Amino acid sequence: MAETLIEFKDASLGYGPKEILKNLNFRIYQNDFIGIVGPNGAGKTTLLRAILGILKPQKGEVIYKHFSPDSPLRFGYVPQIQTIDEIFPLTVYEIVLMGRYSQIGLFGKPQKIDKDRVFSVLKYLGIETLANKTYKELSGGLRQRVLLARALVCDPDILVLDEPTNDLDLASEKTTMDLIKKLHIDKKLTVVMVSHLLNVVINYVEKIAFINSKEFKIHNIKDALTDENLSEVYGIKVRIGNLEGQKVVIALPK
Amino acid sequence: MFTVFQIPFMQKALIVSLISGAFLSFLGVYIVLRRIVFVGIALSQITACGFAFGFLLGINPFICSVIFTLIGVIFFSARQTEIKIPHEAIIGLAYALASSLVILFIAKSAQAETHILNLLSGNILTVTNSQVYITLTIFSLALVCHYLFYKQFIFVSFDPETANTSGINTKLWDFIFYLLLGIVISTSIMTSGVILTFGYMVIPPVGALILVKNLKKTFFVSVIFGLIASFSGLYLSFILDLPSGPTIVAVLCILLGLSWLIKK
Repeated sequence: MAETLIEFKDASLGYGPKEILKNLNFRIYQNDFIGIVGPNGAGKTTLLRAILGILKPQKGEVIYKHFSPDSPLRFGYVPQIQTIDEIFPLTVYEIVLMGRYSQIGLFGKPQKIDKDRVFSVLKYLGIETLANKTYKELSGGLRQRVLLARALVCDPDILVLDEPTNDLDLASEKTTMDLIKKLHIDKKLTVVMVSHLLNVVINYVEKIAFINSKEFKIHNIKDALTDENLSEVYGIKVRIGNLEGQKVVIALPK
Repeated sequence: MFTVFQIPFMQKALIVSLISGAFLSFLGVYIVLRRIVFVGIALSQITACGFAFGFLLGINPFICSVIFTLIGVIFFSARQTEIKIPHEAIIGLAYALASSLVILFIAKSAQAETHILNLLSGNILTVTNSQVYITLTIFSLALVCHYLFYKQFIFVSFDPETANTSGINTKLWDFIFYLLLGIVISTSIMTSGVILTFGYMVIPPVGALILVKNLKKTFFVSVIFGLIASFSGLYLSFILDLPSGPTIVAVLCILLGLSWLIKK
């Protein structure tokens, strides 16, 4: 049985007096690959913020695994690409190095070990030649890879991605998702991603949760992907098909 | 040329303008990149308001301006997520309120008028020895903070959400950033006035951003612009018998125009 990394116990989430998600009970296990899907505005980012520990639950609790008393769970976070302001003339190297800041300490300056780690991750992701390019000069797909590299340089226990394929063209979308899958398999990395793109998520993740369902629950992908289940979640008639080995979900006319 | 700077009051003016020009041009890179240019001008106006209030009540204007600036800093650094009003509107409101209060406080204080006019337009030629020491001390401390905590300031400015997830307390570092900004603005307005202070914070970073495409070079070029404009602006103001603050701002604008022409 895999170890529990994060456990939500009767947790309700929201901002101020407003409750967005109620009574959440679920666990994220080591080596999970979970996709959380739902329409825009359903509370996906709210849930993600709670998983990351930057939003405290209004009720209930969220319990994090500590590998040792002074070693809390380490997150590698990939934000939505649109939240990054390209006006900052930062190079790829400078942005990826930010992922090491928490390990460098309050007054510390980057050392050789930090620089080496940055270049080894850039190499793994195939973008080491872009180290001195500025973020602004890159395409959407390459920008996503830079943000992924920044999340990986801290050697995270869990990789959390917020809409990783937003604003990407079809080719970049596939490359990004293939890369995330590769990280999960090669590095045995626990991955949690939220997305509103059901067709992207279902072909990669091993577990899935629907944020607009009556009861938030993490299902095995095989159990969750039925026409009836998805029709109930989305409130419209839905059919799951298979095209060249890829699962495709389509909404049927009323 | 250098004989001009052998005159004691010009020496003091040169020291203060070089320090202010270099550091505000450095800090201005953050201000422009964080898109908070109008926070800069609103804070400048709040500081001037503090000076006017000090004159009105007959208490130390500098201390008073620092207190007003701190209130402004707390106000601007807090993220007003629950108020459904755009942040720009709140900045505009603060600016309009502070500007009006300056005039109202002056209207009720006869001795304040000359001082406040100096604060608004700037008269760097009248700086005293103690103002030079205050400027040196405060700007050196702010510089040390920015050197030591570069990592935190740049991460929180560039991507606050991810900085937060990696254990950097975004609210705290934002507050420290605004606090240093407020104190530096208060000190600079005391010696250089609102126009020059704001000019140093905006024009050199914009020129540098036009000219170079790397952050470290942007900081460097911005500081160089601040230094060149301080030195040549002061010299020109002396030989042409022009007010020093606006002359330095005019030189900054020429440098900005040259950057644009070079890049074109």
